[in-house]
Amino acid sequence: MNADRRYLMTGMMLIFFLVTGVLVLKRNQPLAQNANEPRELSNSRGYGPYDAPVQIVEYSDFQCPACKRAQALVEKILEDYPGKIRLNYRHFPLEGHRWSSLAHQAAECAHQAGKFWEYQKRVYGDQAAWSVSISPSDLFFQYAKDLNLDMDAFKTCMVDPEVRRRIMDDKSKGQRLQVKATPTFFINNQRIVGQVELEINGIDLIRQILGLPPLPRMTPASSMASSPGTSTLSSLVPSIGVPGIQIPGTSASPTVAISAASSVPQEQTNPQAVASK
Amino acid sequence: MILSSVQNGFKRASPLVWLMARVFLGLVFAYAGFSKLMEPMENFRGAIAGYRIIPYFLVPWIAITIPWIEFIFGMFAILGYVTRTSAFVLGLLSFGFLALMGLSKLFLGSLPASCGCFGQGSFIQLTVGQDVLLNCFNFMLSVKLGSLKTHFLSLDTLLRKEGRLRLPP
Repeated sequence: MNADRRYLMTGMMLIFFLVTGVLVLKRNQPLAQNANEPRELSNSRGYGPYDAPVQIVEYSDFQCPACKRAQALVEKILEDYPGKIRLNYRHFPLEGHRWSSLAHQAAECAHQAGKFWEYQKRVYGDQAAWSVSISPSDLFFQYAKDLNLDMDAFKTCMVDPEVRRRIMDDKSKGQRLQVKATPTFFINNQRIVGQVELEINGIDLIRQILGLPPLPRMTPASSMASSPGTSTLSSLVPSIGVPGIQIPGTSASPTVAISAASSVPQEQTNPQAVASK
Repeated sequence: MILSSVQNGFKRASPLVWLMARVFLGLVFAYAGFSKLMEPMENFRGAIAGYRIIPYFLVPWIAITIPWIEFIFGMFAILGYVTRTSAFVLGLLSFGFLALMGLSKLFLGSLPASCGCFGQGSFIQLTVGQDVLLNCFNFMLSVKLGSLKTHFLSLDTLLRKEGRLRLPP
């Protein structure tokens, strides 16, 4: 065997072993397949009818700027397909975000009072303020007060390890599904990572599930720019009187918030899930 | 001044130093590729799409091919197989990343929070600034490694020189 042939054969063998090794390792990785858990186990942080044809599971982090931007898009999608989508929110506080866990704990406490979505709106809206704050707890308590939550219950809940456990349960479920970045969505178990992918593939997928033709494709940047005023946080949850909260690239308007609130599906509670807690 | 001292440093470096440089370059890319390959492809796809500057029809292709290229040529660099070509490919990847960052900053005025370089769930999490520095360094290393005719302790030397390893002076 001459040197050139030996050289070539070595390369082919290397590629074969490297590719095979990766494929075998990947195949042996434990990976949960189903993001939509049985209803009795699922949390009740959800919008829309349980039997909606489109089931979206969202893993996001309150201190993540991309999640804040994606939230506006999620709300626009819910608005565009009323009654057709069930959105389940799952906590996924990232390690690198200092106050994320605290924000999730506060939101979970608001959830216990049935005001998760309103609280979430406030937390995302004020993300720039509390994420750089030295003591964000004061702000989180202030948001609760603004929403007329029972402050004694809220204070107790904020130090309740059970609430923390529920948040970490959500995160563990995400990790089993190999959620590595936020926001990650599962639309009828199809993984969509990030706002841009949601904007392009996510909407197409939803339309496909609903038997609708795909929308004309736009670049992500142009589509965001071409829809000012449509993707506001205020447009879905009832207005809680947060002045000046605006998603970049959109034009939040209190008038829109009030008028849109009535058409929005309110937070639904799952009696079985509540009973199991 | 800085450039000339770097060049002088390169000239004086022994083959052992270049071996370490080659292994470092290979490890960075092999690990970057491997960590992406171990994750669902959608994670890297989401990271690339987040740049918003790459034509979207290219995004799925890039998401599939880049991790394999990084992993295979990274391993080739470690083992010293087609070393100059591997150095060229890895240099091109570094340059491509730097160009992408520059264009994103120029046209969009912002950079993504995470470059997705080491996979979204990797234990190596660098800021975008750190990634730019690392890629600048890797680009310089790959240019130099690509210009070397022989590589100490490499398959190239082993196979081309009939099994005789070239020892450092």
